[in-house]
Amino acid sequence: MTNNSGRTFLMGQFFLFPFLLSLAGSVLAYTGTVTVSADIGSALSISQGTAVDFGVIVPDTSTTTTITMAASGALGQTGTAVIESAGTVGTFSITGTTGKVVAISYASSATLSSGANTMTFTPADGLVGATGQASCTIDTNCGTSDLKIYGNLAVGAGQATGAYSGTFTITAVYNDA
Amino acid sequence: MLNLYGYRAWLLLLLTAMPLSLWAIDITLTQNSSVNFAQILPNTQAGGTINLTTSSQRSSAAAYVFSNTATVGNYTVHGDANALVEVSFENSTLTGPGNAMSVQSFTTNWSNNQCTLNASGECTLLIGANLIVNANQVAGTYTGNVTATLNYV
Repeated sequence: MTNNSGRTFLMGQFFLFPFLLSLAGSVLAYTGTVTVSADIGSALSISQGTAVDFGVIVPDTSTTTTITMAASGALGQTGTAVIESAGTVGTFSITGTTGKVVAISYASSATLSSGANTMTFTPADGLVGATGQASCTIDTNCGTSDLKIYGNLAVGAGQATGAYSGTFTITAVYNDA
Repeated sequence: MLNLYGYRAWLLLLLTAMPLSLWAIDITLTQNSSVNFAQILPNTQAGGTINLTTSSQRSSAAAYVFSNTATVGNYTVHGDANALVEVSFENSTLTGPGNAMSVQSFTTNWSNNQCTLNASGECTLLIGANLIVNANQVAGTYTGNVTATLNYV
């Protein structure tokens, strides 16, 4: 009887030892849940509507002429070149997160080339929109009917004949907050 | 003969388990505010990493503009009074309308991620993290859970 119960006690110890180790491990490690969230807006995207087009111009042979384009696309000039066709104002649009205000900036000039020959296009101040805003609100006034590009083209005296083209960089960023 | 279910074995288990339960009450986590990166406006489609500090400041090397107010995770840890507690986090993901975004590199207001609980057995835990926004991330709300593991040191 005594032997029997003594053996039982020993076996009990062996049995409990690994069990208690695992018990200690689980009791001392706790987990909790932390919730994380984020709201991602739509990235900005700029699309060209129509390109800026000064049409056909016959240069003055002796003096440089500045061809002006108004927000309406109407052409005028400071010299005596011959403007043979109507111009087209450039348009572009910006898409992104609805209701957010976007600041628009642009290169101060662009070079048009025809082979080795070049001319310089200078965007008018406040090139954006008839009212000249340099910002717009997405889905409110960032469409092609709102965002226009126009300005001045410098045509040299006896500017070489050819089709001139170039690209113009417009940058849009979200306003803070 | 192998009387494992005898009263002596149970008595030993009880006596050994009792002290454990006496010096280690459960550590629990109560949420005061979740981690919220709030609105993130991407200027471009390129992805990038956004850091949220434990003072609720967002920053990024990439072309993001931050809108609305971000909130740092604010949790109260409960446990034994005056006990030293350590916290660690598992990387996780936020899911939403687009590809899942990783959340990782957690930071806390605890020195070495350890805090000595006060006399009431509490310590405030502030949690910041990095959010990895994928390129061409689809707009929308993303949420996820991060598992925090708490231990007595």
